[in-house]
Amino acid sequence: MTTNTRHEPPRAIAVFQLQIRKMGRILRPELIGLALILSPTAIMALGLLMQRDAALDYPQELSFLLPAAAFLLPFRLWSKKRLFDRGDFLLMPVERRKHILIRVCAGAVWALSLAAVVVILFNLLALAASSPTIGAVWRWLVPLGAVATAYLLGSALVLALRHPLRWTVGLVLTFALLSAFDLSAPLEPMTRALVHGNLGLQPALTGGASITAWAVALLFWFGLSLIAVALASLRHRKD
Amino acid sequence: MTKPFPSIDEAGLAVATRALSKLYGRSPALKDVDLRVPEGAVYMLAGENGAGKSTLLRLLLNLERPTNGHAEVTGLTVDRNGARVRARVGYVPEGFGMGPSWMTVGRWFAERAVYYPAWDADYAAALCRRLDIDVTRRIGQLSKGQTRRAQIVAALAHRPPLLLLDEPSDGLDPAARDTVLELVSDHLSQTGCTILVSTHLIYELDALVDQVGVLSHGRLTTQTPRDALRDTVKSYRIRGPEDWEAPSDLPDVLHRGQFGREHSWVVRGDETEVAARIAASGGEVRDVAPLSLHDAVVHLMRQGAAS
Repeated sequence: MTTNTRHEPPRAIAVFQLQIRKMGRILRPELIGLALILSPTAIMALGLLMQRDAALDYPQELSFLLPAAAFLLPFRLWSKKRLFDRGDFLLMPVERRKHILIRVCAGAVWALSLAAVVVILFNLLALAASSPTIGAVWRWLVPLGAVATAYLLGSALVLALRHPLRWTVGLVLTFALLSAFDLSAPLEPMTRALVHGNLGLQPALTGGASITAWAVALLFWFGLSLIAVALASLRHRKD
Repeated sequence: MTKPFPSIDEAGLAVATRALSKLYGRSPALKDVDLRVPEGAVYMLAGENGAGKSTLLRLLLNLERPTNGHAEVTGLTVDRNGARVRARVGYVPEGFGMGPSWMTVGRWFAERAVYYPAWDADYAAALCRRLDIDVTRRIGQLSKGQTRRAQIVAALAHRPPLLLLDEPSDGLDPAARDTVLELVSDHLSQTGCTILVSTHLIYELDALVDQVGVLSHGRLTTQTPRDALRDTVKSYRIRGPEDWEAPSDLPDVLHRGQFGREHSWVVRGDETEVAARIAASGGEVRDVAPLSLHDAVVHLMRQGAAS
């Protein structure tokens, strides 16, 4: 058979760069929206700063909003068709599992870059206003760790389930109903440990009391989410 | 009776499968298919709707896993080298899905160029001109025919050694069909590639095909060089005496028609031998004529469907 060496699969780095560009195009509406929100906010904040008496604090809501957005990002980047049906993605000459993981990495680059822009912007504004909400430098890294972890958890769900949004909404609704009818009591110790424990989500996402507490909780959740992504990718055939 | 179809040489096969089977639930889509596509051949895969043609092509690209059996494409074992196989194949799928609707055709081709290092941008541009493809249009704005044309460019532009075409002319107008066939023909003469094409429009490929396979209910009921098909499947005009009974030792009668004492049969087998058996039973062979590719394949498909 007359095949030449060029009839081989592409290099992983070329596919990674392509996926980064492609995701930029997918996220174009969100990027425009973010720019429309952040630009006036920054201008108004600078205006307030010039008045000198303004108190500009780092918005603590970002500790929740950024990981929440990062968790939902994979739902936007992937579609059922690309992963589970006869979509164009599956036809490409790249090992399927590798292709999926390359795409997850490209999404992580976008998630972390966008989070970094938001975190740096608001921290710089708070810093310029000498806000007491600016803590140690490692505090700047807390949202980025939270974003990386939440993004990977969202990716694991999307890769593992044909209908991840339905499952996520179903779980949230189930828990809400259990709480509403006071039936969640048996789950509470587990929930408390999961959220507020030393290795809980709260110290991992918000920073906890010290850098050590944060690093340990983050490492635990980050490792767990990496394992979840790896396991979810097993659902897809290698070749 | 001699063996009706000579077997294809085992050496130099671009595609070879052994006992390839696929079940969807309990329903069999393919049963023990032993496909043999020689290198450089144009192999036409015919079969009724749901015969398993598209499934077979998807198995050859490792887009689906066989329930049983083994497939090799361009010398590579498919289930272990799916990505490498897909890199060597230009594939026009059965469906018309391309990519996100917001993407332009040009952008879609640019993505393909990343995935296929052998992509020839100049060749792709030339193909687009010949097929009248506007690369600035968005995928969501394309008609079925325009989508199919873009898929054909994507399959050809990296000059693959093997083309798998699943109903390539589906959705095309007659002029575009002709252009596509010209393109495939040019591509074949320039690259010497192998083509495995599944189609319902047999007459379209008459000038290109040199191997024929017929799938029926998931079984490959016929696999033969086209010349052998021409030599062995023929139409016989027979005149029989009153109450003439056909010879019982003619197993491959694909079609029987009768008008009075005139019988019109389509028989698969060696012409001399068939004529001798008919004569021995008292019938007189008035005329023997080869069938067109279309007619021969249709008779074989009917026989396969009935068996």
